[in-house]
Amino acid sequence: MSRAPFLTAQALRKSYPAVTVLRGVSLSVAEGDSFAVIGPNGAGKTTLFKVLSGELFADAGTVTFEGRDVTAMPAWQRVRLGFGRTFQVARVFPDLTAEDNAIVAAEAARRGGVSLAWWPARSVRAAAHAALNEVALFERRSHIARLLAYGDRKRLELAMSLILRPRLLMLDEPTAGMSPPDRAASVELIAALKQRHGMTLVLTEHDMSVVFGLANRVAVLNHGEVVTVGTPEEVRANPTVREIYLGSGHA
Amino acid sequence: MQAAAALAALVMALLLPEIAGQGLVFLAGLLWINMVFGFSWNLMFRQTGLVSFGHAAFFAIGGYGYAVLARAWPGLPPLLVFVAAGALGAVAALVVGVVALRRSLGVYFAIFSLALSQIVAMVISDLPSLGRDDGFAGIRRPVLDLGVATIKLAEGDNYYRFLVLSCALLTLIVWWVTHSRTGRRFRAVQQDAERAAFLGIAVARQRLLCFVIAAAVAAVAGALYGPWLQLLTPELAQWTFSARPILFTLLGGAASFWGPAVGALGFTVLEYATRTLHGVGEITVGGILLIVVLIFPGGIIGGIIGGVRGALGRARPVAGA
Amino acid sequence: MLADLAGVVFNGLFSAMVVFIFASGLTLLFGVLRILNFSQGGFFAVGAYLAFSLTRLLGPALPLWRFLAIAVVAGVVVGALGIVTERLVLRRLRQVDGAYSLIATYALLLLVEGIVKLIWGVDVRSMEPPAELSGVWQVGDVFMPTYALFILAAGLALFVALEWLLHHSRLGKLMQSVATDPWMASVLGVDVARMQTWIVVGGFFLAGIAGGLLVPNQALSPSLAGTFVIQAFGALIVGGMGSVRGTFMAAILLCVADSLASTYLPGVPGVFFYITMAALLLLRPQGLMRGAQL
Repeated sequence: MSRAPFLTAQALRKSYPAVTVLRGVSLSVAEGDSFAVIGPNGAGKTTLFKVLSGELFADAGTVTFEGRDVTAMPAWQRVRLGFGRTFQVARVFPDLTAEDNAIVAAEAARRGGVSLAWWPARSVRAAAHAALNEVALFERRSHIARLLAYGDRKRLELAMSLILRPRLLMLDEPTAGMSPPDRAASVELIAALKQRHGMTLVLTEHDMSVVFGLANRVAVLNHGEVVTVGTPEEVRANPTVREIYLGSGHA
Repeated sequence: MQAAAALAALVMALLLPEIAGQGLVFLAGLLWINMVFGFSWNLMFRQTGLVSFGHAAFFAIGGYGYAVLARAWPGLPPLLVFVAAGALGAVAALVVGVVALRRSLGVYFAIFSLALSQIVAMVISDLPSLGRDDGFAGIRRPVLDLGVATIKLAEGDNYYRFLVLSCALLTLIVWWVTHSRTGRRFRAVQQDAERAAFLGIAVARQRLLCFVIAAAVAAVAGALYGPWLQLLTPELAQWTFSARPILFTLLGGAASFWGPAVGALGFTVLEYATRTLHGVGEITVGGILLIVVLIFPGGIIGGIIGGVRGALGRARPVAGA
Repeated sequence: MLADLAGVVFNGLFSAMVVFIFASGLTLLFGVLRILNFSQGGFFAVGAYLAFSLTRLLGPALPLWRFLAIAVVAGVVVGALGIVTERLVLRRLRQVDGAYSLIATYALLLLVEGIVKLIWGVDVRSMEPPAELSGVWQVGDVFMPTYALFILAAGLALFVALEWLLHHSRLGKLMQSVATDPWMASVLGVDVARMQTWIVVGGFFLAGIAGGLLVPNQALSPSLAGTFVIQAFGALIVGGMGSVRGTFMAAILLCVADSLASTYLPGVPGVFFYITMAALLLLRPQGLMRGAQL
């Protein structure tokens, strides 16, 4: 770990009126990592994910990206620094076509200001088509997003994030709601995309086969605190982790 | 198809004075202004999901702005004054929007815009130079100097024709914004603001932009209204007037670009038919609006489309409960 | 100068209580049902006109007890209208998007306003307060109309009563549970639908009684419906959307600030209410009572 850490969290705290969800979480993600955050339900994974991506702000603590303090930066500014994310339940623009969804993303990526032009620029359309091709949705580009199959919507969402060429891609339960064969295909696709675009991944996931298939580092969260961080093998061998998972009935 | 229908409507509007009396032409002029007012409101509602209850403030700012400028500097080219009135509306919207859109929640914005229109109405009622509650009278119809020819808008139906063409231009602008790249981005923001933010789109800025454009269009509509009526009153800024574009849009159908036009037509007919009966107008409009929201959220256009589908034999979803 | 100041503050407090009395039902409805009810203004006007007609009907003398009884009757009648409104309109709005629900209550306001015009006409009417409340009290150099003192007391009493009801009674606990999590409340055996109906009735009762109490304060005209709504919305939003305590404090803050500024600063009277509102919302976008219940 000689370089400046890529993404760090330092002593993040977050409380809601009734509960404290994060109790001083610190993490460090290196560039090129596939970093998974796991833990039982209610451990604070989702909240941590939201704080890291900028959807929520922590009550205390800092988040840095490439040495830069981004704690108070809203999501859209973080995206412009190189963040990208997907949601637990795929989120696309429901009443636009798949192509228009990709075009909105491609235009956002170029940060075009006000444009009264009617048709998208040729390069924008090309970028959108390339991204749709990458996730095998080009054939269905004229479908209204709302009417796409769930797996397709999930891939469309991924394509939209990829158009922005993020250096850090955050995946919130990338295989939630998928059948086992779809999951395997999805893991393969994500791994291939990471390879091709040289991204760093941060993900949360329930399915351990997905975690161990993708991640090279794993952090275990329980009751809003980091229990351990290590390679998948180290984490698997950790007795506390076994206790948390076996004790609470999740495996 | 849309373009052809719109063009046909434009030609018919221009030819109206040849076949109709002065009273009807006057009503038609109001109708065109109302339609533009409705389009500008629906630009916000349909494209970014903003519900403004104070849109009349911008209409009034444009109307009074035009009247004051035209009186203070009679030598200014009238077209410039109309544009200046629009700019005035845009600037006002920018100032208000920066404050009001910090909280994007629908209800907050609705109340905030309501308060804004109240402030504008109070200021107008209080300033002697704006005529207070008696109104701003004697707004003249200007003379257009087009270089090759001068047109006295005060003569004959000249101002009416100018009004029709201006309203057509404003409609075209709103239509263009709706279908442009920027319009697509607005729609993305409306459908899922958070997703848009995670594509690096500055959501608040998009809403503000849409608000400013809508306000500018409403202000020009207000500017056109002054010389047509030759009288402006503080009611133009009040919330009852703000409710009009909402009524037009919902009556006609918010999902369609042309909804506000259909609604404005329906509203004008209703208002004219019940003008002598105190209270009946409100009861009809309120009742219809309630039925629209509770039972036919698609408005008149939605109802027609549903009806056509039904007639074509396709299964139609059962409306209401 | 000091007496002036006291008088100005007194005026502000008086307006604040008028706004609060009007806004209390609105707050209840928003706090529990999350419906911002434009039509509250219309039903307030119905209460005011009812009180006006009843007073006329019962003859020229208006003793204090009759004034109060008439206000209560107006409240009860409007409360009964609340049952109808809830069944026909408000209940259906729970499945409707927030913007549409706001527009629907506006439509309802138009409807009620039209009915008021149909029944009572468009002429402006007015009514004197009862004899007991017609005097003026003088404390030092400050003149305080008895009627204003009465409204001040009524507003304060209403606030204390609502606070007690919401925070110290069993019924209040039930209302809180329905407000925060209707599903959970229904699981725990609360009849949520019935509770919601009763809250609407309560909110409408408050609108009607407010109409009855505030008739002597202003000229009666059909546009009365809209007059208070905007100020009440302002107090509601600054107070934190649906907290009685917040609305109460916001009403005082806004009205006293408006009264002071209108007296000591140049500008248009009444505008400062909204300027203060904008400033407060900039400082505390969540409102005064953030996260507080009812």
